[in-house]
Amino acid sequence: MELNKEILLLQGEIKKFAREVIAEKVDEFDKNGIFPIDNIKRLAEMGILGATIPETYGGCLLDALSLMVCLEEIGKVCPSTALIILTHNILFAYPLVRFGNEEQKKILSKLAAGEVIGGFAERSTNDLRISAGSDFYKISGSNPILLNGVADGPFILFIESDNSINAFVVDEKIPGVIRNKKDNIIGMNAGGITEVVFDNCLIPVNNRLGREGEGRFILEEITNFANLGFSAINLGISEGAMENAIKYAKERVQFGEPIINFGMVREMIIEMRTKIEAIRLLIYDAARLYDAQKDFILKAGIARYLSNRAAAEITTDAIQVYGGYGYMKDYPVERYFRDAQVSRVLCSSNIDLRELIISRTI
Amino acid sequence: MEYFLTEEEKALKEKVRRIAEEIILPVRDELDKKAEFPREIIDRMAKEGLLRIFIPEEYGGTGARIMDMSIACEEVARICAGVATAYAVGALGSGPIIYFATPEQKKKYLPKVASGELLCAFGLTEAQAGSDVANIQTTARKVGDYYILNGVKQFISNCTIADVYVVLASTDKTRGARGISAFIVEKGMPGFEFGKHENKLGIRTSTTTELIFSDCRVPKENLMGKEGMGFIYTMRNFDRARPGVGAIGLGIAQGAYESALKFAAERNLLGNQYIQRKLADMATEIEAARALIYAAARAIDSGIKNTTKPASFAKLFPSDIAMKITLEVIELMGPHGLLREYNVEKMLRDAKITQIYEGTNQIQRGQIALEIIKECGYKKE
Repeated sequence: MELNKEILLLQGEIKKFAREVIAEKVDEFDKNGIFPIDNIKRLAEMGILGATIPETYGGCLLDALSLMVCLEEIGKVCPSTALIILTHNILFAYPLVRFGNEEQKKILSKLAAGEVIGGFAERSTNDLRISAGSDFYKISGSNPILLNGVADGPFILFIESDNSINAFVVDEKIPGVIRNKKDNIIGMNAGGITEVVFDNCLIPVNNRLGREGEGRFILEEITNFANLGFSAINLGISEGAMENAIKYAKERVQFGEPIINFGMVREMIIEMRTKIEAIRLLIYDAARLYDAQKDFILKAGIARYLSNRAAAEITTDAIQVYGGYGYMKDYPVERYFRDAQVSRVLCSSNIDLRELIISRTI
Repeated sequence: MEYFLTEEEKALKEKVRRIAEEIILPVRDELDKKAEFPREIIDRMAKEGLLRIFIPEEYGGTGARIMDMSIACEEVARICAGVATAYAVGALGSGPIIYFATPEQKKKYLPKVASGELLCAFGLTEAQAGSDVANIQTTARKVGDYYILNGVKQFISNCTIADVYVVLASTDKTRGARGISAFIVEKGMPGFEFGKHENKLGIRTSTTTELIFSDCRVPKENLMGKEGMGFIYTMRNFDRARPGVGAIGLGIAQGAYESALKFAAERNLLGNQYIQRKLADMATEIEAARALIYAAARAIDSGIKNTTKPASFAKLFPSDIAMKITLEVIELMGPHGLLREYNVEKMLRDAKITQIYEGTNQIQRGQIALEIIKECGYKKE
């Protein structure tokens, strides 16, 4: 499945940036939990922060395939950065473009320029008490996973009450929203995930995306696109881990020869490569369906389902190739392993994915 | 399942479970975060008699049975695999003394190991000698009444907190594996220092550092057994230790499975067949691993001659299921599983080491394959 010239050019540009710039501080940022704001600004200059925003709103709308290729290339080097880009584009800007009113869309040009970074509160970890008024929703409680929380930008929060789901844009004008950086998540340390606490927070009904009760549909739309995006990060993580494992296996000498010569090491690499090629085809296929405005949902779900597993297995085996060294934070593979855990569970659970696949199969 | 444990074994299992829940559970998260291992935990375990199970009766122990070791390691690892590692390494370090040391050395060290006064460690791995154990570069040169040790050991567990280190060094480079000898080195001997503390993915409650020997003078009485036998001692010691490592994997799997079950129950997910399938598979794999470890431990305790295959079985399968089950539990719990407060992410990080240390699972597979080929009278090439 060949990429066209334009995408290849973009891929080359992103790859170069990832390997020459992002790679430089990737370990330091992971270790100290630093949000890579300078790199994000540079990516904004390259148009990547407006990837889901039409030109009329100041963006430079990319096709889904191009965006997936970007997430893959960034994910190979720094999965945290890829997560920031995914969250901003797919989990925040995209629903705003699709469902926002003109007032809400005013922020899009700032998003595209990278002046504002959009966030997303993971729905499954919401622990909220909600009372609905006529003009406001009153919210108390917390959520331990606010994606891009460190960036202090607006974020999307799903509120469930009385059997209806609504999506809200929580912006800086709303008091009582407190973000705490807690370092309590296994991976994506540079991804700027925070806890968010709502202290008797009043969210105006005007901040709702779409009509009352439309949240369920919005959630599905976001999730389907995000399945594609997380698959691309899973793919990038898998490729980054394999690349490192191969490099190490060629250098590491035991029993008088490089360990890449040993069948049991080669076996692990064979498994990695095979899974990577399979998931890449699925992702590109689903992205092309999306771009052709055909039904991509099942394919994206399958890509996510398979790549969730592949990322877990490949990063586990990458550590195994390194042996004891792989278990040490001086080497990169344990980071890929931790990041893969985050990338494979956010946004849609595997129960959701199974239901999606079975309902569209039988 | 009913494993027909003896009354003593049942009592041991209950006791270790109680101690682990009482003294390790409340501090495991904090210790993991800070990557600290306080010696006090081992001291508490010693006070409860848990270190006696490493040691034969004649030296103040309770018999040095692999079965007891497996039971204890599982129960400690169910709560914290880092502490279980520190504990098991105590046994790994004292093992060679039990089986290969001189009567004087045994008398000098073993009763104090049993009482918990002395904690042991085992110094084998080096930068260029991981799976390739025979490639160690540390040397021991005999000069008068001393051996002079030079070299660096890497990734050594229990470093700094242990008092006694069984260290492998080459006394005759020309003889390769047959030129390796084992020494008992005590903390504080001149020329023996610790290097950097490793920052690890998991088992962060177990310390790992380098051992640095620079013209370290070790009295010749501290040579263990005979010169040139170090490699063989090591291999035989590993055979006795591997079921314990498998049991650490088993304990992690058990702990993770219990967390998943509780999570599913609290969220009313137990009616979901997908969850049922996962839980059923986990429970089945855990029982299979436990049965395999017990069978191997009992076989080795019975005095069978060739212990390599059962020992490798008992390390390979349980560590693989520990990895598989902890990965499944993260999937089952979703984003909650990523959070420190649920503890399964720690179990996942800890599980990975069980596929690596004390012989990677690739090495175990190689050993098992060789034994099978030998048994059948075939040749490798």
